[in-house]
Amino acid sequence: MGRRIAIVEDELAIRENYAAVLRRNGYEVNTYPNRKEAILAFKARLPELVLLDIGLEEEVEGGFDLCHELRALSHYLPIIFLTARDSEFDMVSGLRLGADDYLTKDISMVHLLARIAALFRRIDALRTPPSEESVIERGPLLIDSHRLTATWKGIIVDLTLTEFWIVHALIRYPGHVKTREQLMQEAKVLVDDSTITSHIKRIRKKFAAIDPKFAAIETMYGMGYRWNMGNESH
Amino acid sequence: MIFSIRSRVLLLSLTLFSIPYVGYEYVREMEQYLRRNLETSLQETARAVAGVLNSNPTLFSRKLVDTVPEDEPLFAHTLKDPIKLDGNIDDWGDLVTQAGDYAGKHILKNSGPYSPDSLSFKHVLSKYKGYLYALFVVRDDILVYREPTSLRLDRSDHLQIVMQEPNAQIYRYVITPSGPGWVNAYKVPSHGDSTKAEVENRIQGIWQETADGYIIELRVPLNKISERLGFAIADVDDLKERKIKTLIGTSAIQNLETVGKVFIPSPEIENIIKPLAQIPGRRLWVLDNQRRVLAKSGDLQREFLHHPLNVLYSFLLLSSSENFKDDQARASRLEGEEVNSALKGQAELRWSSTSDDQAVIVSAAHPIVVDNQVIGAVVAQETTNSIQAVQRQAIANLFNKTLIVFTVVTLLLLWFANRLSIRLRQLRDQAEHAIDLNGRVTTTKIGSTAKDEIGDLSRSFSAILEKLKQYNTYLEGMASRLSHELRTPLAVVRSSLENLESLENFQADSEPKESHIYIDRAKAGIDRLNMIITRLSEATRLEQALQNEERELFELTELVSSCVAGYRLVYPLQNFQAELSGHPILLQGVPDLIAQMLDKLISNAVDFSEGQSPIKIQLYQERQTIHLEVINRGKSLPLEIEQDQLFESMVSFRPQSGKKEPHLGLGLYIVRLIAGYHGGQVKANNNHEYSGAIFSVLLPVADHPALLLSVQ
Repeated sequence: MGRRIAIVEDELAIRENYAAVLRRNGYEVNTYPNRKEAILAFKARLPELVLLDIGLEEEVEGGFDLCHELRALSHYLPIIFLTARDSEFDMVSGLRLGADDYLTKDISMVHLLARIAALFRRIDALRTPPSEESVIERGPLLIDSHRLTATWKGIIVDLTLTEFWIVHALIRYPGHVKTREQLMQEAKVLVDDSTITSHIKRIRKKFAAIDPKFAAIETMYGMGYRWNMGNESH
Repeated sequence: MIFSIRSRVLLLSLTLFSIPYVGYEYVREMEQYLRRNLETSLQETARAVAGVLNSNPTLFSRKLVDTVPEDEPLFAHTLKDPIKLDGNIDDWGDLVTQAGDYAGKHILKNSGPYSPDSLSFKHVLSKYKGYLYALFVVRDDILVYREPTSLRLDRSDHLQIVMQEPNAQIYRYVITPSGPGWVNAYKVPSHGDSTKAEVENRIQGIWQETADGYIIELRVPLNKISERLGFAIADVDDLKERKIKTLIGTSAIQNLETVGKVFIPSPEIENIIKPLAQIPGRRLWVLDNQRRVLAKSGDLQREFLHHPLNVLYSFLLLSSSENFKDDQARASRLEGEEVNSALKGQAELRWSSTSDDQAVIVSAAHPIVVDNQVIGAVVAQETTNSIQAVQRQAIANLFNKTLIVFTVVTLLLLWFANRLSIRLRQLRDQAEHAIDLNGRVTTTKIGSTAKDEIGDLSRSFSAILEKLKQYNTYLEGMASRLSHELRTPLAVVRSSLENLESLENFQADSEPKESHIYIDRAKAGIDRLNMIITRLSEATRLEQALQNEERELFELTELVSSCVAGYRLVYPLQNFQAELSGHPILLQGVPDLIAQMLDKLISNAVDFSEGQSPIKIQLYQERQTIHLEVINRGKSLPLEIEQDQLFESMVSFRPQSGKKEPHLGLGLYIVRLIAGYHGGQVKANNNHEYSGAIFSVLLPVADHPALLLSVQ
């Protein structure tokens, strides 16, 4: 029995296309065109992962509302926003409401599947003890590539999947400069440079919330970013 | 030629000067009325005086007057000032000129040949208060005085006076001095012995010698004189014989019947008419039926108040002179048609010029009728000067008031015009500033809330700007909306393609190759579309991001050199040449954005540079401005492009052929956005040395020395 994924999307073609791909990949997919139907079904039984569009039929921000309601129902349910809206504001709003990721609709199926798989893996991994080989240690930073979690000085840094993959890409070869294009590939997103810049900014903020002196992610202007070992701790 | 509103309004205010013109015309028309008014007034006055005198016929029955024969009587003028009996004739004033000449014609007695040098005299009478004054200017070549011891009064040069006194008796007096000086008259009995004379102290005077004779000034109390009065001067030349050689008289005084008459103006009538003639400039005459002046009051000449401003208006209306020659001032008889007519019982009015043409005199005559008998006439006179004075006054008033009104109105208009043009200029400035250099609407609130046309104009400006802003917003939002709207169908296509692809994979055995090629091509197309969409929304997203960026102080040289190092990696085929300032340059801003801006400039330069020619990056500080320049060799910028246009959104001047990536003309727009965010400017120029373009970004230097320390 495959994992149950719910797609809430008012555009029939997209909904069915995604559903078809996901089903082909062994998932059990339920589709809902609007918020009412979705929440009704979710209250009866929660899916294991939700793909959400923001604009749902008449409700311009129906996706946000639904995300809010879902988070109230379950804290751990993975929620991915899959939307045409690419503004910084929408992205921040979505993530703030507790979504695990925010993707624009131009993402390729392969990438989407990778993310879904990763999120499920993370949920599974959280139930099993961490395995040594999947953990990378960089000074105070511990990254579990299996459970997709990061800790800084022992405190969990609440990264989205995209953010986690960016951090992961940076720390794999500390000191090496990663261009924005490389980071995009690693994070399995196809966005523009400034989106990467804002992702980096958010990542820094999340680390800085734990350690105000955090300066390990260094901007190499004109090139990209690198994990600077010397800047890890002071 | 441009006239400002202010000058136009001022020009219009000049039309106010038509007011005094109309007023002037009106005043001219008023003259007719004023003349009629003057005539009526004079006629009324004459009639009123005549009426008063009608009821007092006794005033005319004075024997003094009514019995005067037709020949010339002696006329006593009325003096204004007293006369000193001092032998000096100056105090007689111009009366002297009116003195009668008495010479050969008036000889009463003569022996031997007559010569005017031997004896002739001038004589004038005058009245002042209670006295009659007589002046004799005598020419006499040989003066013979009375011997003091002599009792005979007629044996020397002497003056004889014959006078009818109020008791109707006629008396004879002689003034025969023994030397010059104070003299008294001797009363001599008529036809009697002149030796039996007694001194009459009330007739006194002075005898003053002159170069060619002597002067006698005499004073006789008026109450002593009744009707007749005559003078004669006797000349004695032979000291031994002492016989009267010549006797010249004002009338034939030898016989009492032939003694001349004296005419003294009637003080009673004068008292009656005086109050009626108190109007300045008006003169009243009362004449008897012989046209002789019984009484006169008032003066044609009057004092006009001369306002200093009047001088200004004298060119508009000739000022009449008060210095005209008043021929009748001292007349003892009045002639003229009006008098003739009045004496015939018909009131009449006459306009006449003075002899020197300086003034016009209006005189109205009215008969005095007692018992159907015309006993005299009243003549009221006035010059038209009063009319002119009134006119001048009116015009002066009008002009003065117009001047004040003009000044006030002009000031008001000036103020109004000023306010209007200030408001309009404000509106213009606001309208100009409402749209910034980039054609973006900065404000839609323009102008005043005033409820007038300018307020209306500003409101419609606001409305236009509001619409323009909406349109601009629509245009600006177009890219992001477009990208948003395109994403969904794109996602449909992409997901469909991917579905198709995975289906193909499932059924791998059938014809795998061909359909894969098409699917891949379709996906490549989708990717490219995706990139376009991403680029489209890049500027919008940047604009949104700019709103909540946090600025920091950073070192620009380091950033630029780091960027250049990056570009060398990114564009390995391109030669970069960096000329960076040796000094640290501090900038307050967002380093990521500056880097992004430089990315765009470099990417632009790389696209346009030709072959192996290097791209030069210059960074230097000039005073408070940071210059960041990217210079590439290659094609020049088309001349027809306006600089600002180059940095507009969706404007691209790239050649259409041979492009690998889609260009939406957003790169330089982003450059401008970022430069603008940092308070800077962007310029694009052609290189003067060799073909190519120079893109320069001018940024203000961070002006906080304290921050500089904190960075280091």
